[in-house]
Amino acid sequence: MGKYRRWIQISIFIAVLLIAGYTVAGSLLGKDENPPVAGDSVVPFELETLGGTMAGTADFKGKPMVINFWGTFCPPCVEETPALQRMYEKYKDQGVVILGVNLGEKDLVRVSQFVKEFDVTYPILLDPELLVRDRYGVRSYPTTFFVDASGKVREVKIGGMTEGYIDSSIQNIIQ
Amino acid sequence: MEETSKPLDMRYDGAPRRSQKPKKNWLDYVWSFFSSVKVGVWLIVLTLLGAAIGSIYPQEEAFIIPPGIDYYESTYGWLGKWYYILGLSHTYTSWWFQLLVLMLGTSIVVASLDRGIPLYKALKKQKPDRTIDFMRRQQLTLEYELPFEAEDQAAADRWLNEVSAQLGKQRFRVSRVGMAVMGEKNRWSRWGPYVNHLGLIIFLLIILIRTLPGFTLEEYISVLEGDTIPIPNTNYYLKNEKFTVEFYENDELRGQFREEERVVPRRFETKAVLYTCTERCGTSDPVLQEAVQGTIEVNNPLEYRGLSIYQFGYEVTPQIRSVTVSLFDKQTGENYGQFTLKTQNPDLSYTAGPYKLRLHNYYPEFSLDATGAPTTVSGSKPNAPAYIFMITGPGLPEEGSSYIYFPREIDKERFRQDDINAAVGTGDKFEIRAGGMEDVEIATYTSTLTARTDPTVPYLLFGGLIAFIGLAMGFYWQHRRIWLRVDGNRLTLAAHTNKNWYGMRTEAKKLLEALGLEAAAVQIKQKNREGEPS
Repeated sequence: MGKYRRWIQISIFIAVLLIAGYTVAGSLLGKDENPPVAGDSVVPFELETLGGTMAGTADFKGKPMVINFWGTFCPPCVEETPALQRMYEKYKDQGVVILGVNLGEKDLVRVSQFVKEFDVTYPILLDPELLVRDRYGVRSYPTTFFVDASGKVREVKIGGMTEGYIDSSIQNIIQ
Repeated sequence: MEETSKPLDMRYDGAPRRSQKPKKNWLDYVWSFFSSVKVGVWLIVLTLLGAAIGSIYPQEEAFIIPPGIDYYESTYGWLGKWYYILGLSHTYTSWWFQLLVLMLGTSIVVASLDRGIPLYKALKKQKPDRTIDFMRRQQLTLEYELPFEAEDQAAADRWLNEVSAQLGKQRFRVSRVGMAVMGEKNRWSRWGPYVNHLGLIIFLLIILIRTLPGFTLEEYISVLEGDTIPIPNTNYYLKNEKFTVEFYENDELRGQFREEERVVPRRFETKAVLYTCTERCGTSDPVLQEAVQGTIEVNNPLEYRGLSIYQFGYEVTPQIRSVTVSLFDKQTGENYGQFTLKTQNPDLSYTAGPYKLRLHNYYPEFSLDATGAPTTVSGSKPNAPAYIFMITGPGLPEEGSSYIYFPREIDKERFRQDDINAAVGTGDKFEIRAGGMEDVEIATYTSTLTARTDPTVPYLLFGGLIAFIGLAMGFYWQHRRIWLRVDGNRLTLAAHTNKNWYGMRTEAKKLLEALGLEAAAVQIKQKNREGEPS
C-alpha cells in the first residue's frame, strides 16, 4: 500500500510539472501573437497583388525583404516611393525584394494609377481588410520592416525614409 | 459521570494522513507543503491579490490592437508606465499568475487526496463495537444503569434489539456485533468537500485547456450597411444587409434624460448574412458561399456551427454608397444615358449612349496636395468623393477628354468642378449629374459585432455544477453516528458528528426518551485544545 501511494504522489507531481512547463512556455513563447520587432522572425503572410495573383513572404524565402506599408493617402509614403523604386532597381539583382503592402485601399483604379505614375516595378500587395497591418502592429504610416535573408527582422522603421536611409538599411540586411 | 481526559481527535476519523509521516523524504516534504491548509489559504490570498492588481488598469487583452507603453504612460501617468514595465498589463497571461493558479490547483488535489483517502479507508473498515475508552472520550458520551440484572444476557439482548429498532425508526443504518450497536447515517455527506474539490479541479483544467491556441475566438468587427467583410482568424465573411435602430420618444423618457432630450436607443438590430469563403479568401474578390442568415440583436446572437455573432453596438457613419447619374449634353440638354457610380472600388468603364466613360482615377476624400495635385485624405471613407473620367465618343479626340465629377454639391463648389471642366474643354459640352436625392444611396449606420467561439462553456458549467453539488452535500447533511454497548447492565453511549452538534444532541435525546432513559443529561463536551479536562 505504501508503494502504491508513492506512485500516486510521483505521478501527480509529474503531471503538475508538465502543466507548469506548458504554462510557463506558453506565456513566454506566446509572444508569437505579438507584432514582430527587431530580432523576431518575419510573420508570414500572403496577399493578392495588383495583377490579381497571390504573393507573399513564402515566395521570397531566402531573400532579403523590405516590407513597406503604404497608401496613396499618406504623403510621406508617396514621397519615399521614388526612392524605394530606385533602391529596388539598384539591389534587385542581388536578390533584394521590396514588398509594397497597401493599407486598405479598395479602389484599385487609384492604386494602379499610382503605380503607373511612379513606375513602380516592385510587387504591390493589397491588404484591403488591414489584417496584415494589424498582425504587424503597424500604427503610423509609413512603417517599413527590413528582413534579412534568413527571415529575421533586423529593423522596424516608422516614418518616411530618405534614399540614403533606405540604401544603408538594405546594406544592413544583405550582409 | 466520570472525569475523562481530553476528547479524541476525530478528524479523518482519527486516521493518520500521509503528510504526517514522521520520516519524510524530499517527495514527502513537497507533498506536505501542498497538503497544508495554511499554504492553501496563502495561495488563495496571493492569487486574489494578483487578480486584483490586474484589474486596476485595462489589460492589453481588452484592446483590439494592444497598445504599447506610450498609451499607459499618457493615460495613467508614471503609475501606468511602471504598470506596463512590470508586465502587469497582461497579468492574467503572465507566467507567475498562471503558476500561482497551478499551485492552487495542485494544493486542491494534494490536500484532498491526503485527507480523503485515509478518511475513506477509516470509515470503510470501522466496526460497531468500540472500546469503552473510545466512547468515553467522545464529545457526546453518557453512561446509564439499565433496568435488569447484570447477568441477564437475554434481557440485554432484547434491550439492544429495541435500540436497533428505535435507531431504525430514526433512519439510522444499524449494525450490531455482540453487545454493541452502531447507528450511522449520511456517511456520504463526508465526501461533500471532496466532490466540491473535484468540481473545482475540472473547472481549472478546462480553463487551462482553453488557453490552447485556436480553442477560443473573440473578434470585433465593424460593418457598414451593405458591406461584406471577413471575420479575422476565420474563414467566414459577414454581410450587414440592413441595420435598424429605434429610439425612445422624448415623452417616454424621464428625469434628466428627458430634460436633456437625450437620444436613447430602444432597440437595434442587424439583418446579417454569414458566408464561408472557399477560395481567394482575404482578397478583393473572395468566393463566398452563404452559410446562414438571420437577425442579430443585443443578447440574441446569430449562431452557426459553434460560432456566435453578437450585436455589440453601432455608430452613426452616414456615407454615400453609390450615386446614379446621367450624362447630359450641356447645350441640347439631351440625356445620353444613366449609370451608377459606387463609392467603394467603382467600376472602370461606363456607357452613356454613344459615349464611353473610362474611370481614370477616383478619390474618396478629394484634396489637393502640397504641389496642387489631386490626392485623397482618407484611403477608404467617401467623405468627399471625386471621379475623373476620360470620355470618348463622337466629336471627341481619340485619347478622350477628361471630366471631373463630385457627387456632393458642397465639394463641387469647393473644388470648382465647373471651372476645372471648362478649362479642359469638356465643361461646355457635357454635364454629369444625379437626378435628385433618390438617386443617392446612403448607408447611415455601421454595426459593431462580436464574433465568438467558446466550446468550453458547457464543460465549465459542468465543473461548477459538481462543485455546487459537493457544497450541498457537505452543508445540508451531516454524518452522524451513535454507539451503544451493554456491559452486564451498564450502558455506555457515545455519539459523533462532523457538523451540527445541536442536531446530534437532539437525535440522542430522542433515542434516549424512546428507550425510557433520562435524556436531560445529554450535553456536548467542548473540545479543549489545552488538554485540560472540561
